[in-house]
Amino acid sequence: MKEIVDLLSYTFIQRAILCGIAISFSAALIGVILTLKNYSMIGHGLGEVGFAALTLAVLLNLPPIIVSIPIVIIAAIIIMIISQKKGESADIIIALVATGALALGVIITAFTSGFGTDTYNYMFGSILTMTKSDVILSIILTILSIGIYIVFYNRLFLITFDEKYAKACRNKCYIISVSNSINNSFSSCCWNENDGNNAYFKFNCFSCNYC
Amino acid sequence: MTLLEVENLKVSYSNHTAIENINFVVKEGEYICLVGENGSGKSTLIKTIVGLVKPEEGKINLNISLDEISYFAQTNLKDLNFPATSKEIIMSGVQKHKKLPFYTKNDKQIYEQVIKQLKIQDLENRRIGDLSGGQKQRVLIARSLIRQPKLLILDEPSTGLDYNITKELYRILETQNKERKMTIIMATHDLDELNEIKPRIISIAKTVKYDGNIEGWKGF
Repeated sequence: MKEIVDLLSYTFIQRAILCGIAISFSAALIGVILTLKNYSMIGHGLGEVGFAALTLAVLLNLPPIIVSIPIVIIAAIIIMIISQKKGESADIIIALVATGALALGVIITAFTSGFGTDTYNYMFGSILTMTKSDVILSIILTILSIGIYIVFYNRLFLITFDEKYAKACRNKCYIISVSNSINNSFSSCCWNENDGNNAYFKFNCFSCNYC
Repeated sequence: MTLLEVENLKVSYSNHTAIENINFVVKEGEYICLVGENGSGKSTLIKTIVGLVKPEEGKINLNISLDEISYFAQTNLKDLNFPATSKEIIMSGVQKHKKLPFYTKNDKQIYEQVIKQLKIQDLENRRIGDLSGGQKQRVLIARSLIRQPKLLILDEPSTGLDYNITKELYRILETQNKERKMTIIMATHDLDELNEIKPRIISIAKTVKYDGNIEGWKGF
């Protein structure tokens, strides 16, 4: 018991717990929808995009999460649009985007000095890299994610179950799908920062089993 | 009152023309059956009317609010394995895009009426994936009816239903048409039922081959 209390006295542990709890709420809500819509690899795919964004942020000497959020949102929307327009399974598009983003990240890494443990930590996760502002941002984004989920719950349900019917009944599928993609991006970025992109992917697998 | 007007409609998939030169007008309270052989373009016409397929040429003029249309699609029931109960799925049909995401007391009352009409009270708490093909079909029909639309568009709704349930479905649709003045457009192959309900027939084979009452229709 004393060891646990001692452990909890460390600031980085407190941040990790707060951040982990916040993200687990949004990830638990979003994961089910993603898995049912064949977007189960999105966490992994957006994680790779996040890595490419991180390398870019280091290159430009900017804060990683500020750079990665808009880039990952754009990637999520591109995946959604291509998947809907071409009628391909989203997981195929995700695989293409993920591989491309990883390659881009590696190329930028090779041409930039100053990469070291940060890249490693970002890819595979480190609670030591989290700052106070990261925790606050994660909590804000989680509240936003939960809010979007509650407001759009019925429509998300309809779109997930039967997108054609939802479109035929003139539900604004496009806007809701974009909102969902943005939501996914928030969660993916926050999760990346905390526990590495593989953790989010594992979470999606968990959701799949649960469903 | 004219609800729907289809003018010179043409739809193609890649280099294949699915339907062309389709013209007809739908008036309020009409019961229209689209008939035709497999691949004649019935489903394409329905998908174009509901906005799922974009026409290459021509246009569709709708004179009612988009909220007042409901659609029953031809669904692959084998893929319908979803972790939700029948009740959740039926209730999802209530949604109208300008309303808040909450169900009203009235929605719940309509739900009770619809499940009673379709005799699916015992299915309401069962997962859709656990139901038989015919039961799933009835749940999806209930979802279309719960909107209480002015225009109901159905694509082969009796597929997978047994004889009694098919009869019951046609009786429900007829009641909705006569008592609530619900306009119905339905693609169907149930020719026996057509003789009983005497709808307006639109026979399709890429284009409209016949448009009139059932007495004057001489088959495909």
